[in-house]
Amino acid sequence: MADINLLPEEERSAESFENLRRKLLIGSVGALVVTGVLTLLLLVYYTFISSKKAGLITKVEASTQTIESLKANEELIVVTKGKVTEAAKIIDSRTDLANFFSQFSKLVPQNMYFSDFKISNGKLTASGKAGNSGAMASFISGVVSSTGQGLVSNVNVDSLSSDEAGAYDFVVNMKLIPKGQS
Amino acid sequence: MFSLPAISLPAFPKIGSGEETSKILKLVTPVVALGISLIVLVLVVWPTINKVISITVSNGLLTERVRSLQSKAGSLKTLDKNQLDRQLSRSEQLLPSDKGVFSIVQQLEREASGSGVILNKIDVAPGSIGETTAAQSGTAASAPTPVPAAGGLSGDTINTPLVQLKVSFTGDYRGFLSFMQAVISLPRVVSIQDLSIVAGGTGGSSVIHVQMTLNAYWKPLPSELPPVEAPIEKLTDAEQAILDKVKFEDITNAPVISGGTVVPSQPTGRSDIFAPF
Repeated sequence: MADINLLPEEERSAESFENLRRKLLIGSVGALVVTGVLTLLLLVYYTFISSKKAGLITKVEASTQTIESLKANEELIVVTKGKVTEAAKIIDSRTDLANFFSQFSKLVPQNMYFSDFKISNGKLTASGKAGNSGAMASFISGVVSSTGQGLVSNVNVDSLSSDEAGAYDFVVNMKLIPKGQS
Repeated sequence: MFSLPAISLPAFPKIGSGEETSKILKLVTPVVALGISLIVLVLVVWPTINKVISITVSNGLLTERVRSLQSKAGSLKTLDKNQLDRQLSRSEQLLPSDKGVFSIVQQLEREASGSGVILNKIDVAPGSIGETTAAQSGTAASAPTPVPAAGGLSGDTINTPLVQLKVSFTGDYRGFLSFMQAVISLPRVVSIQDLSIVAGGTGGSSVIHVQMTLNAYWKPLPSELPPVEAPIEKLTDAEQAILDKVKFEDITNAPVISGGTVVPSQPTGRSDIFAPF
């Protein structure tokens, strides 16, 4: 059964307006309070971080001044480091040829010698004489052995010719193993 | 007679101008309050939030900067200037700041006589003597162009400026090995690019004739320091070991050509500059 509203229309309208006005008032006061508190908090935080920033800038200036006063030391260490790093790079990449010859000579048979020996762009070309075919075979077997492969690779016999005494003239070429790969 | 039904009109509220104004006035306060809140939010809060965000970000960066600068300043304070001077002197022997042609030639002469080989020829085109930057020279002697890795091997290339010396000498195999060992052990960083050995002197002797191309490296001084924030890079153990192998030479009072190349003491002054010595 529908409610019977006995209040006059005018009074009801006034009451709803009053409700609306009250809600609006509460909302606006709430918004004012929230805005005020937020503004206050923000301003306090802003002041705090601004002073922190000023402090950090002071510290940066102080440290920069300290570094400037020690510039001479910095110059010395920078130059030294640059030179030694570069030197280390070169030393690491260069081949110790004295050691190469010491190792390589162990692979050369007693009755064999080289007459011409060239190393250029990582390639070794050598010519010489072997006392007999066995000496040549021993040399080739040495350079392709595990020991030899630590020193050279791509062994190629360009020519091999014997004379009437049974000695062999030969020309061989091979690639030197780059440092660090042997 | 017709009896007309009575028409009842709904009761309309009375619209009086005074009452309406009173209603509007009652709403002014909250509406103004909301407006003020909105204005404060737009004009104060929003810009302040943006500023706070920007300052927070910049504070983060500044904190990092302060940390790196303080760490760098601390590192620099711990460095011993005398030790740094000695290290620089040693590194200058490893890679001089100029071509150092005469010093490397003198070292080769000394090592050749110590190894028992006879130096036949040293061929070098020094180019500009006072040159301390690789870019200034167009001569092959200081070519900063990449060359195959030291030892003449293919692979990595070295971009360090260098002076190329063509050295030929004669000796026996033992002397050759000793000279090669001495060259590779020189304080200055050198590498052998090409090597050619021709054996067999007259009468089946064990004399060998050697020709080699030697790269003697140098490194000009840097024209500017790294940025102030850049951390100090200390020497690694391997680099320190390389430096320790170099004998310290005090070159502060020695006569120099440029960039620290030490000149040996020689008597000077001639009455006839065209008379053979």
